[in-house]
Amino acid sequence: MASTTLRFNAAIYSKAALEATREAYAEFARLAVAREGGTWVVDVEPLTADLAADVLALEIMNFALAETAHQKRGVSA
Amino acid sequence: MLRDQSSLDLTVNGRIYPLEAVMAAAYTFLDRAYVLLDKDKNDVRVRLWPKEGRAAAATEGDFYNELLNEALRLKIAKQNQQVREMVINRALFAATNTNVEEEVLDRALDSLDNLDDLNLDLDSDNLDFLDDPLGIAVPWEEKFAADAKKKEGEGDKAAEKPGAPEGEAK
Repeated sequence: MASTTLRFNAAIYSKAALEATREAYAEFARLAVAREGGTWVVDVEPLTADLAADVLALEIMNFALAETAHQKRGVSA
Repeated sequence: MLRDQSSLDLTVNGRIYPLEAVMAAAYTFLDRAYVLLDKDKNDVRVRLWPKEGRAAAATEGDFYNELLNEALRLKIAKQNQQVREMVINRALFAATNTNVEEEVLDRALDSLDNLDDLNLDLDSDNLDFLDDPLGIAVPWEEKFAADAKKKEGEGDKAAEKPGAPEGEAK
């Protein structure tokens, strides 16, 4: 199935946030998280054909940002 | 990358807007757009993909406004941090420090014990509001009138004695 690659700046996005994203979307897509220098590279492979890969990737991108923001803000969020 | 044609690329000066403010602004925009943040030295690059039914120009303008709002909020939060911490510390200290309350309670109980020692029938139904078992309402002149008369009598006797120095009985 067609996969999409997302690249996140490691100075902004945390590994924990990306791991949480991977777990959250486990039933919709297979996410492979890898580090390349200062970048997190995430390969998104949808598990079903009816999901548009690019839209799913955008949703995953938003979720990763939300998780990072939550973790940075802590209890004061 | 994804949907290149419909995305908005914004560059935010990191020396004016801290990363936390950019992230908070981006967070509030998650329902209106897909957001990707990137960093380039001192600047933060924001890429927005407005969701369906959202005008790109309006989204961009709203994002700048939200960015300013979050930056100011962050600045004020930092300015008031000490005051907020002090108020919270005081509130928590007052709530958890039960020693003071226990001391006050102990004193109150001690005073009740002292009343018991006097064997006063304070709980009796016969006690009227005009009753004064402790003698608090008795005027000073009445209470010590007998003592004063005794002292006066002793003073007169001493004055009658020969050789007694003047003023000794006073």
